[in-house]
Amino acid sequence: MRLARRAGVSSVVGGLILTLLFVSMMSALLMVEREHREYVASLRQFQQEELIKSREDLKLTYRVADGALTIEAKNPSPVAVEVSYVVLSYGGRVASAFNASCTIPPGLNSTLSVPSPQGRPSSVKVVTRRGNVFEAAEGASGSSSTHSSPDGVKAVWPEYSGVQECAAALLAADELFIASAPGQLVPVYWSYYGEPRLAGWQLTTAGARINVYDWGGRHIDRVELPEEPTFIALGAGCLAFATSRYVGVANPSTGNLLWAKPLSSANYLDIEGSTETLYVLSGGQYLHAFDLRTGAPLLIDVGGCSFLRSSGPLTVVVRSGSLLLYSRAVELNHTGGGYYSAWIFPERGLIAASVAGSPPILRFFDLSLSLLKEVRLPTGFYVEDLAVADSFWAAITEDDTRKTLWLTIVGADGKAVEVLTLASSPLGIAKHGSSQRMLRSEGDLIALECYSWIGYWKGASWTAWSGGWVLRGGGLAFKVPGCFMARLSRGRLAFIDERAQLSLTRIAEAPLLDCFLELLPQANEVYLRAGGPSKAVEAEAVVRYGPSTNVSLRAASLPKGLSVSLDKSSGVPPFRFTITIEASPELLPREYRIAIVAEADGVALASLPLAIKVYDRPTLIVKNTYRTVSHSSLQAYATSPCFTYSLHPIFDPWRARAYVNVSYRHPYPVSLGWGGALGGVAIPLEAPEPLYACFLHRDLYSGPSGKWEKRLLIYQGGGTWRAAWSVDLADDAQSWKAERVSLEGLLKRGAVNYVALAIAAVSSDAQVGGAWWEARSPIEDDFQLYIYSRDVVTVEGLAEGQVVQVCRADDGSLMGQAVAGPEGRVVVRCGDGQLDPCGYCFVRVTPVDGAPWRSSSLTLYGGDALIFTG
Amino acid sequence: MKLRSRRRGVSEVVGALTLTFITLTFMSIVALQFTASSRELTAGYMEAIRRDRGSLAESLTLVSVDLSENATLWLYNAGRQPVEVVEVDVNGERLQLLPPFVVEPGKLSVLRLNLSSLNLQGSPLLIRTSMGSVFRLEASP
Repeated sequence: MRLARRAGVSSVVGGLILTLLFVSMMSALLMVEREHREYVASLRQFQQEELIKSREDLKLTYRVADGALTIEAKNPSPVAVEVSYVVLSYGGRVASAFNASCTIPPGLNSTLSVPSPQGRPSSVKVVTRRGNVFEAAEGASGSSSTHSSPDGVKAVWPEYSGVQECAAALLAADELFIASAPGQLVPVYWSYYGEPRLAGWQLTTAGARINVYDWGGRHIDRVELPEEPTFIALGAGCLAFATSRYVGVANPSTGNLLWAKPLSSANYLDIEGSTETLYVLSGGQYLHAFDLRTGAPLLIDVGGCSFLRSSGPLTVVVRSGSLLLYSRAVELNHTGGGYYSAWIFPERGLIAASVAGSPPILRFFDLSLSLLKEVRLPTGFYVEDLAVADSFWAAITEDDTRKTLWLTIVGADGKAVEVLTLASSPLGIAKHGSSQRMLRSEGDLIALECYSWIGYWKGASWTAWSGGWVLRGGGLAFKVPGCFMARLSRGRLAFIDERAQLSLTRIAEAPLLDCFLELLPQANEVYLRAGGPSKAVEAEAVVRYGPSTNVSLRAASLPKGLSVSLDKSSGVPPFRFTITIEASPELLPREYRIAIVAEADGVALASLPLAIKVYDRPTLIVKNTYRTVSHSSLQAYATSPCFTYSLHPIFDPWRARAYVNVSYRHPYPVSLGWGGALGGVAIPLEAPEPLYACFLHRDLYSGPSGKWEKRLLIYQGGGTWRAAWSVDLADDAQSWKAERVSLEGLLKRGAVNYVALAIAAVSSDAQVGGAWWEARSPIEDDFQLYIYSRDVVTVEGLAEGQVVQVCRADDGSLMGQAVAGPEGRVVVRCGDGQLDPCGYCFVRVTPVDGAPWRSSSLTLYGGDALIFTG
Repeated sequence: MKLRSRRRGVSEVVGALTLTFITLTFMSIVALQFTASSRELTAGYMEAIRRDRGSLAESLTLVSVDLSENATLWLYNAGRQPVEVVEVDVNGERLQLLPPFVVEPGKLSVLRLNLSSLNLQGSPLLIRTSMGSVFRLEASP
């Protein structure tokens, strides 16, 4: 009885404690769940607000009369725009900001009036409540806007790389229509404590609508969907779509929704055009089929299906390794054999299917599933997509072991014509991300789109690489730079490029497109002063593939006030030409984007985009050519593991790494060799001579000399290293000592160079104690190895005869000067140690508008490229 | 017999009480440690989520830049909460703002920086807020 009572007490106590723990855990879970729910709600609200913000647009003009400024505002966007502020600038300086609470309904006009006591402003900006800034143009006509809505998708014909601001994220096409879902290409920055760096591009759909065009680029209609689409397909005069919750069909000619049904997580959809059947693969590998016009279900929930392709009256489905042939949702035939993907070409009487085996096999069947041919692939190759043209076929294969994506082009005789590497990634192509590889064929043309994205924070993704190719007659016809999606019909190509623009070009009827032309500029950016001297940019037209043909050049997308002239308006490539650009005094100071288009017989072959940056006063733009090897890029490199390096302080990851310690650790007697910290650095092509490195170093070595050496080594390729600097460890650097080392002749410009800070054992009887040395930056409290051009800067954009002087900012003394020649570029050499690596200076240019011009004081580094607007 | 039985009875009670006390103490310590560490973890996670929510609600627009003397930025807060600018990064040069510069929601505010105008001309600006958001803005007059 006593035992029983004790057991009761102990179980009650234990139970209470367990209950306490359970309640505590449950309450914590509930709190986390509530917080997470609120977070998701905030995220949705944020996305909604961003979407509405991107739709805002205003057309603004202003007039000044009797000390008052009147702004005529027109809202062409589909959302109401709330104006918060009107900001007036005079001579580039903001003088007044007026709080203007005013709402402009969609499609309507409104008038704002604010006082303008200083007369005509140089700039009038309107700030909306959602944070968009629109600039007004003077006068009754000629409105301008610094913002454009992504909704304003316009196809361009025939300039396939013309400059326009529109965006698309999904693309579908058939013989009649092109459909695109608007989207945004958002830069994604990756921050590893420090400066965020561009990691890639995130292509996202934005909005529940699809724009429909004909193949001439004419906008036909807009289809409103219940939600943002995830897949779209065109066929039999219908537009099929899938969203996260629905599948449906709309009429692309009228924009009317025919039907929509709840069906979540659609993975793929395709249209069997001849039988008007829509097939959908949904999550859990279920296959559904619907009547395209009415949405009546024809086939429901067939499980185990993993692959689907439709064409004409037939559909192939891979289900649990078997290959099934359907028509109008009725199974016609099937065959087993471990298939994982298949493609059907009814017009050619052909079915291709791939088998995942060792080795992988590609089988070709006729439409009754009788085997015609079998192609064995190398082990580890998986066929991702396949297309058949008149005289060749092409397949995208992934080599799993070497993480490489290949394009294999095979002739009609079954022999491989060409094998191209599309992408190669040490991270893996399929394992660490997803990729889109699509081949589309028509006649003797095959279009290929290929891009990869990698999962990113909060469900976003960034694109690692993208590209498009057009194949013709078994060879590469031309490349579409930065292509995300491509569709081919009637010898024309619709594609979404790296700027998220939907564009069109012609292929089949334009034999000149056999010629793949490129326009290579000397510079992609031009800096100008409004009303200042003109600037010239040299460029070259070169043919990469195909025969040369006579091409004509013209400037496109020119804003009013910017004039462009070409010294050569036509020619047979390769040829050089000069673009001369001039800005009128009325041109507003901001960045403009123009294009030089090369055409043959009215078909655009290539375009050269140029960024024109216009300033309203003489301005000096500084571009650094110095580079640093920072602690984060270091790695150990040694002839044996006893040579190593460490960063100090080592325990605080958030603090700057003050110095790098290069040392020899164990064993004794020492092994001869060298090692330490290795870093890579890309030296710009334009870095002037002489290249130097600077750093501080110290050690506490007190042993004999001739045993150890400190070295700065440069890799020369082919396993060869050259010592740029080498001193005995038994030197006098007991405290930090500055070192300047010439690297001219050792570093390659326009390439990544490898630099090693090393300790070398030069005697086998050296003592191990004190065998280390340390290095740090001469400027920051951090390890930065500066590589720069010593005591020299270059100045561009000068007129012939102009004198450039670089002076010290503290006392105004002259450091160096040069006179510009006809090419407008000078190299200014300063006194010894003046820019080593940097100095605080100002630049004087004489004459500018008849008088000397002086820049404000700034820090110049040796090798800086200064661009003068004139 | 009496002595033996008395000694046995006392030792059983004391032993049982001692064991119960030890068990209770030990389990209480374990339970308290567990709840404390779990509360700490939960609080850290929830704080991270709250900061993310806060950063989502932040929105900053650069309306204009005046480069005539020191750089002057006209910033508009289109968000739903005040934005505390703690750092401005231009060409790798970081300017810590102490105390932080606060832009109220729906307001246009002027931020003056002790910066050379040439450093700023045509350069992207990185503005960091106390909630951890980073805004990349183009400096053009």
